Amino acid sequence: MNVEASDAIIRGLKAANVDLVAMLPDHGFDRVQKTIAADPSFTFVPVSNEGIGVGICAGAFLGGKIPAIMIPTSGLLVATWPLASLNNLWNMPLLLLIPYRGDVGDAQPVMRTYKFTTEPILRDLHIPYVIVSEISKIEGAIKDAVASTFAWQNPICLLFTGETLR
Amino acid sequence: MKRFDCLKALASFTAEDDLVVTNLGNTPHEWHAVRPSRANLYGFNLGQCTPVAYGLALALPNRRVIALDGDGNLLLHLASLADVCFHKPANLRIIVFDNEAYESPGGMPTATAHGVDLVQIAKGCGIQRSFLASTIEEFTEKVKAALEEKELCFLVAKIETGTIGRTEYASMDYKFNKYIFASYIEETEKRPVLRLRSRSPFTEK
Repeated sequence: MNVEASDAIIRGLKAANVDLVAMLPDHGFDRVQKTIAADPSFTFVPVSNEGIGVGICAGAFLGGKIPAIMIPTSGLLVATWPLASLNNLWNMPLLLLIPYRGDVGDAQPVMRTYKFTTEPILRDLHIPYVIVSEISKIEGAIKDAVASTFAWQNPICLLFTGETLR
Repeated sequence: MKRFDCLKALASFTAEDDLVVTNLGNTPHEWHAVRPSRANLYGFNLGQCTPVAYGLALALPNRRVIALDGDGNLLLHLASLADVCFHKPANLRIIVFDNEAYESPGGMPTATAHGVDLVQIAKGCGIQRSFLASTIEEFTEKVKAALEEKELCFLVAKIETGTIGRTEYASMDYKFNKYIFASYIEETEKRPVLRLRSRSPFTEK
């Protein structure tokens, strides 16, 4: 992810008043994750397992925070347990930010499997998602997702692909 | 030592505004029996009790947050002890009721039955104030001290299996409890939690 896209994510998170970000490092988000970690306007919460991050965000939400979680594409598979048994069952809002590795054009053999897991899992978990492929759409997509995640009390996912990841 | 006796001791030391997060299984019913309160969050499934309490403690640093976890529940996301130590929230207390069994689904042993030492793991993660209690006297003394501490504490209570009678179980809807708890936080902290809206940004003028 280049500087322009990283900056757009930071602007979007701030415009949507996101104030706590849990994350597990991802190559696609490297720059923006380091920026968030160094920015005191966010409570930065590194985790060792994406499922733990989902639980932390649920607690933070119940304490009045506006949380987001930034995790690798593979991490969505790890996070499915609390997303199903907590967020889905309890109607917990959460903004998920995931680089859509394995999308068509991301021509790397090890990423192929995520083309066949990511969107079906989100659909099965009843998590609406938006595929964001243009840098100019990032900020608005984050603001819309945060508005809907609280209004619906349901997680919303943004999948970043195309020029946003290059 | 029975968990219910430990919870009665804990309830005698908790303040009215202490936020208490419980795991799933028998603990929420026992805790509800000794301390019914809008400040309780009940019923977090495997691996989620301590992470949720951690997130709550980060969001509300001026409120004491007590996690009532279990050995099986904690073991699924054992790394949450490592993650808690990034911030080491001084307002968080993690109490683990360790009966060395997955009691609710039938009683098969957990890893602690084979010698896994949760106190040493917590210390290894960086929670220096980590303790073991094997008798109700030890538990009472250590939980009182833990609540009085001004730093992150971890307490393992070695308990027998067994719980209160089913007739004493409360009728609980955990999602409904979410709204009760959120309204309590909104009221006592004077801040929005649910952030529901009546108009869409698409139609707002």
